[in-house]
Amino acid sequence: MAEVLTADAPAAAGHDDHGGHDPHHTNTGISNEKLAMWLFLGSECLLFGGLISTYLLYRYKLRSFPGFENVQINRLGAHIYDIPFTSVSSFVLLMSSLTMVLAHSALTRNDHQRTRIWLMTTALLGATFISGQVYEFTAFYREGLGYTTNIFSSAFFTLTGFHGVHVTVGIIMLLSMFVQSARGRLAAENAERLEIVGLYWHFVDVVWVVIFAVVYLIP
Amino acid sequence: MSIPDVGTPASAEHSAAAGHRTVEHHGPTDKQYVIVALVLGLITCVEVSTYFHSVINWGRLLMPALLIMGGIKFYLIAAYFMHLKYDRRILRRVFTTGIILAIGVYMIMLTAFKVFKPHAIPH
Repeated sequence: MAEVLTADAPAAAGHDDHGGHDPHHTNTGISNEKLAMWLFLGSECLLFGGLISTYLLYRYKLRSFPGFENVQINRLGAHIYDIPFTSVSSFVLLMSSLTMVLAHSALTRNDHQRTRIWLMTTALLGATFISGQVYEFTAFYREGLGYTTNIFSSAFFTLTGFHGVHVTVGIIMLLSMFVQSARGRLAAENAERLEIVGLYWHFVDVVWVVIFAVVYLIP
Repeated sequence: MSIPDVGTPASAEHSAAAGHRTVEHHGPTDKQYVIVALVLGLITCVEVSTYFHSVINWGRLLMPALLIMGGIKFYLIAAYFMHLKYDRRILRRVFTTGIILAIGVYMIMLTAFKVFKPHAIPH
């Protein structure tokens, strides 16, 4: 006969690794907010997986679709990527992940000044990345690669644009954390709030790692 | 029904110290974070160098090398920055299973459209 477990039951008591101390009173010992963020990130994997697959499909098979036999994909595709510029953008986003974990680490030590410094640095690095993306999109448009130029460009702009929107949302979340810290509402006791924002930020970074390799580097 | 094994948490909270509470942190140290970031930066440099054929001509190894380097970067960020290496095992399992399933599903889809056939790639 199955034993019924409820979310509020002290299920982990006696089974966890802290001698019965269950910090979150859930069956998994993970707070609902953190679990929700991980589930959200799981769904985001599918979203970006779909967008990357669509990009690959239209990049490599574009000419096989009716009406697209004569499209010069190389002229409008890989040949106009500015790899050195995008590499710097990628590096900036990678370093923003470092400053994010340093912000969380400072918060766990109740070092609020450093937490705010690292949070603002992370937001600025994210804003730098977005500025680079806006510049890149503008350059592509001037080269003749608009959103509706062909189905390949639509896939490219949708993929990288969606990622840019995610970075922008992340910047807003970081600024929100900065304001909370400045008002004294963010302390070591609720550092998990910042950790959850950090999870989102690192996920955005990890998605860019894949996009950078698949879209820009793999020939 | 038995209680699922959710693994060992990395950070245990609540080490109160005379009115000034801090959180006990069992994840990587700041120094380790910096080392991981340096490794990530180094791998990115190698990735970018593949674009410039004058540096090293990777030949047929180019695509596998890029995929492996991307995979290492993915692992380092997920394991250290997202704390998957130190957090409860259930999160690691959920994330790994999800990633493998997603990659499998999309690979099947792309294979169905014959994306991986060499002659399908326009030159």
